[in-house]
Amino acid sequence: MSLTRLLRILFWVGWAAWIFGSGLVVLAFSSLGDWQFEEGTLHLTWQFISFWVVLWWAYTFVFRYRRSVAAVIRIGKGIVRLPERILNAVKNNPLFFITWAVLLVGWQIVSYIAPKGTLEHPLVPGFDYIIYNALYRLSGNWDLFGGFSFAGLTLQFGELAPFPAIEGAESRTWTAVFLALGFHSFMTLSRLVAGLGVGLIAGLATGLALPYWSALRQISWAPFNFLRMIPLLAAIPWMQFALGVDLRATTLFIGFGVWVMLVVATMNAVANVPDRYIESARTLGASRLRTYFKVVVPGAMPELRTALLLAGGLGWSLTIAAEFLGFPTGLGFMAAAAVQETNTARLVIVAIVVAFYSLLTFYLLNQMFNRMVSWMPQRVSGTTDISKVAGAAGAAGRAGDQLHE
Amino acid sequence: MTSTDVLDVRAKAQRDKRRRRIASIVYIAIGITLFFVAWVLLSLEASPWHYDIPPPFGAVGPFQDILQGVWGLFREEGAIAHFWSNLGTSQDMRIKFVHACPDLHPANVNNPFRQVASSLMGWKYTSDTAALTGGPLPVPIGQLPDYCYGYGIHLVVTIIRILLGAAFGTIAGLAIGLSSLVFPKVAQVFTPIASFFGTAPIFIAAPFFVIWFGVEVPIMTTIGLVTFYTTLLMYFFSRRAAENIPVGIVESALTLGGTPRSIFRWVYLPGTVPEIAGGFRIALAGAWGLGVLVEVLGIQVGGGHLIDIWRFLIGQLQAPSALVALITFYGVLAVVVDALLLVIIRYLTRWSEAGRRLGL
Amino acid sequence: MSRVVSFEGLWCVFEHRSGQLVNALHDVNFEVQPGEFVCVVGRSGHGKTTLLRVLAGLQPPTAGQIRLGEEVVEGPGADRAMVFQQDTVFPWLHVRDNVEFGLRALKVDDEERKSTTAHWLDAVGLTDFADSWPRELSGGMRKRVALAAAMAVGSDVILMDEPFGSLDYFTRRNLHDVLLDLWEETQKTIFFVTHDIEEALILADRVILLAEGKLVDDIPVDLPRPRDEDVRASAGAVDITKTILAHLGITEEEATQV
Repeated sequence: MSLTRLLRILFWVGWAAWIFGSGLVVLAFSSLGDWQFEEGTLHLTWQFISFWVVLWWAYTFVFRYRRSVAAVIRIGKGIVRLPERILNAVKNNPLFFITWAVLLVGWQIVSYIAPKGTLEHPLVPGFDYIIYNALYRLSGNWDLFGGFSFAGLTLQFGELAPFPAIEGAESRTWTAVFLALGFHSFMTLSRLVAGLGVGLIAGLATGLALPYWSALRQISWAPFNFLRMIPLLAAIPWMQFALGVDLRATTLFIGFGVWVMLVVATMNAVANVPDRYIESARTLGASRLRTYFKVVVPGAMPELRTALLLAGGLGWSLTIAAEFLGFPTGLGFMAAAAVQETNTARLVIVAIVVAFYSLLTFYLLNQMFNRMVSWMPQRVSGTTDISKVAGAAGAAGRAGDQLHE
Repeated sequence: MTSTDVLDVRAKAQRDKRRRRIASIVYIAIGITLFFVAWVLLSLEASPWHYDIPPPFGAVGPFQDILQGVWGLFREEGAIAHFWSNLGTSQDMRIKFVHACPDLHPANVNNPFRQVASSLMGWKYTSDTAALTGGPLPVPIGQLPDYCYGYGIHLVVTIIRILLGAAFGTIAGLAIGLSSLVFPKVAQVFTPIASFFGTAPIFIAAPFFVIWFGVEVPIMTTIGLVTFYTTLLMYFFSRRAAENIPVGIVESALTLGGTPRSIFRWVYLPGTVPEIAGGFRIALAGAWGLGVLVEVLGIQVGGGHLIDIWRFLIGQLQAPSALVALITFYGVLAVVVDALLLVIIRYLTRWSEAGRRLGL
Repeated sequence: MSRVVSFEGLWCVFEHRSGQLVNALHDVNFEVQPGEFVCVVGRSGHGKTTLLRVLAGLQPPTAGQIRLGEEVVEGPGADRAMVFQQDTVFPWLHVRDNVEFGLRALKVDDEERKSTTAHWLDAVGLTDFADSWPRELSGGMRKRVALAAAMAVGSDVILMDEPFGSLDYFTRRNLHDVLLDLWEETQKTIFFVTHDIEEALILADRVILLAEGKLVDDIPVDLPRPRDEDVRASAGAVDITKTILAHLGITEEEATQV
């Protein structure tokens, strides 16, 4: 094993250890943050969490100093250049922005003329209503009830607040709004990450292992294709009955959905690896096992891009839907609570937040994928731009018309 | 070599071919058997999921059930047995007054077709309607025919709603997607909208439909959401299908004197069929779950509503048979519709290698 | 080490998509001595590639067998490395790793693996590109990588299935020189499938002609090497060309018209 590889492994092992170590360091200096542990409940203050996260990332800065500094400089430059880039984008694709402007202004106009309905909140809320009424009132969602429990250990978040939430109008502050959004986002994201992580690992592993044995591949075809077709969203009520309402349940449920989908997708990707690569490897003397790991597995990766993105989308759908139907926390719960009060304004907020997170998820999954297949030829942009071809067709058509005249 | 040797060689090749086919059928049969064996094992008393997973066929005991075969269907506590015995009429639903017949007009009350139509459209004939129109008094709920309380009519209503939504969405999505090939501006306008609503989990749109249409026009909830979702997906699939047509083919069509209209008709339209068809299969597979779930959220008729009712009953009865039966039904339905689609797609795309390989 | 390759009563029957059975190989018998350069020539769809795939062990024969010395071919192995018609350089491995692929599978120790790889990369003139991705190379260079990978595993038989078919004329001529140099240096047995008679005349010691899966002729090419333009225009070469054309069902008149 080469030295660089050893160092890299040491880095990650050390980082994993430091996640716990930094927590202990903060605990040792009790002035940095307070904590209590009683009857299986861990009470933490927000100072504790912040110092912990800072120390946790400090590790990267110390051991990867150059890279970290470069990253900070890159991000800084990106922020400085942001206005310029936005201007360029507007110049290059004005219709994109015009469309959005028309949509947003249109929504606002509709909010004035739409029937108010008999309900407390307007059916189509304007942005003034969304921001000053619904968003501000979100601070009511910041509450002392919350807790994050797993494996018999409960993390109590109530005391995380810099100041406790008090019932009544005077407790409404923008800080509480962001704490509420942050808390519910954290709950949803932790469920998503746990479920998606389990599903991705299990799905890739199973999907790559089964086709190695031809008999297993054929035997598993029917059961997996049936499981894949079960509408999982409709199975959520049963999931709650069978698994309960906690992190373990969502992890199993989301993991199951992602697993089934990925197994089928991975098996298809493996089947679509061109035969010539496999034959070439075999004639060069590689054993079956070696051919599988060195040729079939890397060869199947490019086709998995869509499957990974679909898995991300499925994970989000399942998480939000599961929360909607019976969890007391999370973005899905916020949506459910909004439906209870028929508060469309709050629904709009939740929709925007979820859209932001899922765009982020897609971006991250894409990045992860690109890292996995850096050998792949980049698609040359422009060669398949259909609008150009359509434009050319249009030009040819016009030329033809002129000829006829 | 003599000619008999030639025949020998050919016979051997024939035998090998037949053996491979039989083997693949045997493997699939083993797979299905293993699936049921796993289900039965999970529902055994010794299993930790004994209370959560009902046996597929009955409650007598897995090995006896397998031996008894079809007889297991008619035993009470099994998932499939539950579905079967509640298909026409259901005592549970009668007790809960969950019927699928909003149209209580005496002339129509014994007409299943009329009732399915009124469930779909949300027509209601009540005593208020009778007073307003001077019509006959509505039939009391207690005198509704049996089929109104069965799973069957609820499921039929949901299936029709979802299929209608998928059809509308496909037409709309293809219209936008394919027209964007001829008018690139359409794509510039529609792509940002579609990618925003497409990346946000579609489920986040469901509550809007429930609030806006759930009470007044329930039909719009299921159909509307499924239409919305299918439109987005089919737009993306038609765009991608067109992008995957080699530029060389289009350019060759141009040099052959193709006009935009003829290229659209003879290159893009047939060339995109395999991918669009594959996309439609994916869209429909997702539409079942979406359509059912939005009914769970607050529509009074349909398969989703049955699941919603059982969601509340299950806590009291501790009997998951009904839920598992309904979920299994939708799974089987999706598989059957998908298989039908596969046959149609294979026919439509018989010129294409990709079309041949679709599915299996 | 080097062994005689013998084809004994080889049959291969395929199922056509319509369900009809087709004889891809029809009772093929011949023997190849060690170090021979054999070109298999025939029209497309007449069993050339099938013959090579059966020899590689990628395709079981329906009847008959192929022997290397005393050993019967059962499956693919490093003693019969193959260069394919399509691009089979693994795009996910660097050029160097592509050449090393077979050696790693043979569990050759690090020192020897590195020196062997360096030697073959040098032999095909790609030392400077050892750390490139295959996508950064031209089609001809990728063929050299495939050639180096096949040579590196040290097999005594090399199979080539129209390897240069998709390349332009100049690249192909250049690769012929590279291949002939390697062959003279290593004295490996080479099976070279082609439909190009000129290519066969440049390369082969012996031409095997296949038509409808049957071995119709076995022509020794005893022209002096190097086979430059003059040699190929000589009376002996023209005779061989005529014989081949006649077997392929093209008369002399037709050939000149083309």
